[in-house]
Amino acid sequence: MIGWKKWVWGSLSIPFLFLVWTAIASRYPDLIFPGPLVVINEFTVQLASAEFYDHVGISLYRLGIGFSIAAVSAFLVGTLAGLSHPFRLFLNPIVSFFQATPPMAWAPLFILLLDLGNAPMIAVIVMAAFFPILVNVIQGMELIKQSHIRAALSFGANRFQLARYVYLPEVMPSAFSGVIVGFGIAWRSLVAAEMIGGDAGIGWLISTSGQMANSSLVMVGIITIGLMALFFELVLLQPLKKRFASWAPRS
Amino acid sequence: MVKQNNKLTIENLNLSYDGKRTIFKNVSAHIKKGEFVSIVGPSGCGKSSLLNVIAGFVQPTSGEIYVNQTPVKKPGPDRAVVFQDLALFPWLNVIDNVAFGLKIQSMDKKERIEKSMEAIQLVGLSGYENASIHDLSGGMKQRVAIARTLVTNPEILLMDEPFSALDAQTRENMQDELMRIQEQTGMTIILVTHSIDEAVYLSDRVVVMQNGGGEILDLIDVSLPRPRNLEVRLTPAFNEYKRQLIQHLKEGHVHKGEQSGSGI
Repeated sequence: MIGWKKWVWGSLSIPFLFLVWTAIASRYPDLIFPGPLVVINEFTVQLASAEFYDHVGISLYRLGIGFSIAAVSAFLVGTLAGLSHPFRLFLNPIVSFFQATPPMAWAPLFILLLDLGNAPMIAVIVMAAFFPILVNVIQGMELIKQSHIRAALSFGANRFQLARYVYLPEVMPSAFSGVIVGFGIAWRSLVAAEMIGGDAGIGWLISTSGQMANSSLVMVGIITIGLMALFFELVLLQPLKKRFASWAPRS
Repeated sequence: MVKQNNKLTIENLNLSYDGKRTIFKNVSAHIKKGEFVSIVGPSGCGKSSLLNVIAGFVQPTSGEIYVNQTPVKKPGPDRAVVFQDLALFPWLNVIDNVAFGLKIQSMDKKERIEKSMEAIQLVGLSGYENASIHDLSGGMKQRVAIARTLVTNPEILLMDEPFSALDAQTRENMQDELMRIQEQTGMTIILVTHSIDEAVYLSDRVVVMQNGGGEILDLIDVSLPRPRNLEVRLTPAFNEYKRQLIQHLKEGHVHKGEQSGSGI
């Protein structure tokens, strides 16, 4: 399909959503389920309030710290697992178990262990993002071609050069798939964890607004979550993937 | 004995796995500077393993390898390898692939690019420096792989069935290119192939390996005049060499009785 046609079809989804939204909202009072106009109005009010930015900021801070810890440690552990077959076998059951448990389920335990505040939320994010990234890094290590390693060795590459010029670039496409999947899970888990045990953050804002029957603020929170995820995906992750992983045939 | 004028000397090389499965045994060879030697034999005869041992990727069970009278144990830039799957790095463009070996040697960027451009020109790829590997045809990828080995001025070029994935026409072109490049560089080349035609066309000597025991059956000096071109393929002498080689491969068992080891 030609570029502009794709664009037209894609952009049609936004008015469609608004239409469905308006249709459903018209059957309920604004206090229960507000329509687009009420929510947009609430959005502009929130965008002018410092408190709203505090909540967004605190969620972002938790995400930034937690996701960095998860990504760096998953990369290190994944690399070691890729180099050592026994270590990989050792990790297998652990990875299967933790991947099968929803990260959110750990939130109550983390809150008991770490008290309210940032620490348990960061722990949930680490839990959510670590395993998807780890699995993909290990898979990437397994996909490294023996002939690439041999070619580098025959040029006299030392261990550091082998890691820097062969392992790292070759593992990037898989690692990035893991980062993108892990990011999605982490972001959703964070919001959910803030809703059940937070003291601040977007998730907390949504749940307290719900308890106070402020439906339009709930909607503002949901839309903010979606827009921020979209922003990270398009502005941060996809360009990075394009930069480091575009050479891979399946990217 | 390690002779003074040998580029590559192989002495009583043996390779077996678990002390049982013999891949090849008692292989000795003396290869002079600038020689083109092909190793032919059926699949599984151990010819690729022999090349991997010479390259240093696989440790022999026993035996020695010398390059210019110096024993070698590990892979090194003195023995460049063109792999069967070419092993080009798809995340690098043509010139960065070619410059890879120089980067490993920490050569500065300006010199690296200069040398790589020369090699790219030598293999006839000028104008494709910034192309992505994905966008190249099979023959062009082949040229990149050869250029990548040439930049570091290796003593010996080891080639593991490099043309096996190419169509017939491209394959013949690449054979001529390889001969031209060897003429210009004076490099010593060891080529593993299962094409008898290719072996006779390119080589000064052809080594025949046998299936199962991994011994060297025989070697044939190909004294066809150089430079060679497609016309050579039509001469009776060329076909006589091919006939001899086919016969050696067929009658491998005749020589099996000689257990004294084998030499090139």
